[in-house]
Amino acid sequence: MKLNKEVKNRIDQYFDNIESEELYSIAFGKYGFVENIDFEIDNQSFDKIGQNFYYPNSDNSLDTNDMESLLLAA
Amino acid sequence: MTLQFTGYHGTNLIAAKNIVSSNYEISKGDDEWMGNGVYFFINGLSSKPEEQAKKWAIATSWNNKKKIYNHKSYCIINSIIEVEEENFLDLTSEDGIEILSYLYDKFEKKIKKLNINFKPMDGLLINLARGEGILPIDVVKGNFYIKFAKERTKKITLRTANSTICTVYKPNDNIVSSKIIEIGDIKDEIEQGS
Repeated sequence: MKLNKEVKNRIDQYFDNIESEELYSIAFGKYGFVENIDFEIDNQSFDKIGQNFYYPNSDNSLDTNDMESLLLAA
Repeated sequence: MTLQFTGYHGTNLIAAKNIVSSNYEISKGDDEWMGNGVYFFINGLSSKPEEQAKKWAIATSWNNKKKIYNHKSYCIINSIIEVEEENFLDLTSEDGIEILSYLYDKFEKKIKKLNINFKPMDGLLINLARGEGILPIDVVKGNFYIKFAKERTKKITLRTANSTICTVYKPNDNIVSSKIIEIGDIKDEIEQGS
């Protein structure tokens, strides 16, 4: 499969003909997309921040301890 | 043009017998990988995908709460996968990545109008594209970093992919044959490896 005119058209047609609200409802309701909730803290200071761990922005690994993320015994 | 792959699926003996007699059932919830489908190790980053399937079967049999293996035996199934080129998304190639990227950009542009941030996941996008009839994707191939027993016990997490896997969404349509090629004792394998 290549991003040729036909494939591009199929993608364009879908997204051009759907309202944002409807797409939201389908993506988050039917397919399980998850919102990222950011907290903004203004005009506050901290004497000490208890940061003990650093988590990378994305972890591309598959943890076999996490049964939720297991592929079907691939 | 029809493409053909040999895929290796690692599992336990009971599941393997069910698969060979009545085909695979798709795995749901693998959102961050390549979506809801049946997963196989294939030739690519590793020239021994059957070994990876074995290691996967053993690693996933481990019950971390009870500290035991859930199964006595592991099993490797060899499946022949066929797919038309226009229904095959290859995420190990520039062509495939361009499609996923384009799909993501269009999705993001529409959702951002609602001032919503979302967690992007390849598998969810693929599920959406397939489920809503946007693209006729039947099989996807990708490179991933997969943790087997060694990576898990030694807590190794690298960014560099170590496996090429492929996902089949409609096993009845795209898997033309499956046969068990190896059955072994998990404890024997562990003892040999230690």
